[in-house]
Amino acid sequence: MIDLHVEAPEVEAGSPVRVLLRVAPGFEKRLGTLRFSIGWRTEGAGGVDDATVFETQVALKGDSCRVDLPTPPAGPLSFDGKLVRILWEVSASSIDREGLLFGQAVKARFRLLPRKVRV
Amino acid sequence: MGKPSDDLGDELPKPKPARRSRFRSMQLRNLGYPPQTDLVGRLDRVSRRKPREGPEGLTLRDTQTAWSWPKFLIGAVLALAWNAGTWTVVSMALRFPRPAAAPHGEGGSSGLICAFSILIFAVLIGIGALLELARWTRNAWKLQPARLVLPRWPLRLGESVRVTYHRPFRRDVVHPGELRARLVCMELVFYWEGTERQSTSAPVWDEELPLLAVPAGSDGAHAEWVLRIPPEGAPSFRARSNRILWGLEILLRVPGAVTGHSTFALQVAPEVVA
Repeated sequence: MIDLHVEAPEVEAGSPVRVLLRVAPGFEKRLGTLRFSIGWRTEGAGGVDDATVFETQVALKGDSCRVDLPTPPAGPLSFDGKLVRILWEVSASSIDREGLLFGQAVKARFRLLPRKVRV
Repeated sequence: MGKPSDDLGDELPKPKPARRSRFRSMQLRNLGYPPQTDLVGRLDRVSRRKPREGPEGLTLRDTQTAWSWPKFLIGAVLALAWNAGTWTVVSMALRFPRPAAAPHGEGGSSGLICAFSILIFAVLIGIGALLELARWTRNAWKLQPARLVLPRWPLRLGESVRVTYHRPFRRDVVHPGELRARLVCMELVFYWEGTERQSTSAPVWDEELPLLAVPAGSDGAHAEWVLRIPPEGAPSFRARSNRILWGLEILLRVPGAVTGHSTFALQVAPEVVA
């Protein structure tokens, strides 16, 4: 029904992530607004840490929309270690006309890379 | 030397050259450093410290292994109290007559052996505590807190920085010594096992820096190293249950005179130098 796609799967910290959301034909009439959020979480041997760093709501016009979501320059960066992984995700969920969440959130992963600096 | 006569030797595949990467999945090598758990614990404790601007530049101080009166007094009181209690029990046990043997010779002697074993164990712990206190006092008293001078803060991935280490002695040391140092990056995670919070760690990066000499008669250990933060490394990270910690561990050894180690937590920013 809803397809979420990150246009560039690797993004430098501090640069926006561009996501494209498409809904099945005819389904867009049921959706009032879409809530996009971007955040990270850990996976591995330790307890789970997570944070949502940005959230926005977008009114859907037509059967697709393209949104730029900011990433924090301070990270944390994506990491794949022996004990812990740090994963970044964009999540989109739909809000009905009454402002309630309905259906399952769709998620798409991307990698947050270090910002390049010149010296 | 001639060519090996064994024909099979030519058919064997050549060993692959060692990989340049220092990312390791093994435990940190022990070259006289304290155990990995100590290193991670110390790194975690000091990981929020920031350097202070001083006359030499940005300076980090390590006071964990330096002399401190509260540490000495707590250690001395605990060691003396343990020994006082143990020796009181020993003197009482020697003064009182041996209890009469149980009827039919059962139980009495085995109970006595068990009590004496526990007493001997307690005496050994007491002696060990006094020796450790003496060793720590001897080391810590001779050394002043260590300082690490950095050119910038935080550090960045892919960059090389020249750092300077100073550890003044309270008195000149007549013997020559050596300074070992290693740049480490550790993963540290916390998890719950029942009602107890446990932790485990793994090395991500372990790079031994050049071994430097401490000349005889010097007033302290002074050294300069170039730290190269790998561009493919991970920046520092600190959350409730998961951490990535960078640090510099330095081991000072002057045989017969002094041994001291210092741990400095380094902050690595999520930036890579192009």
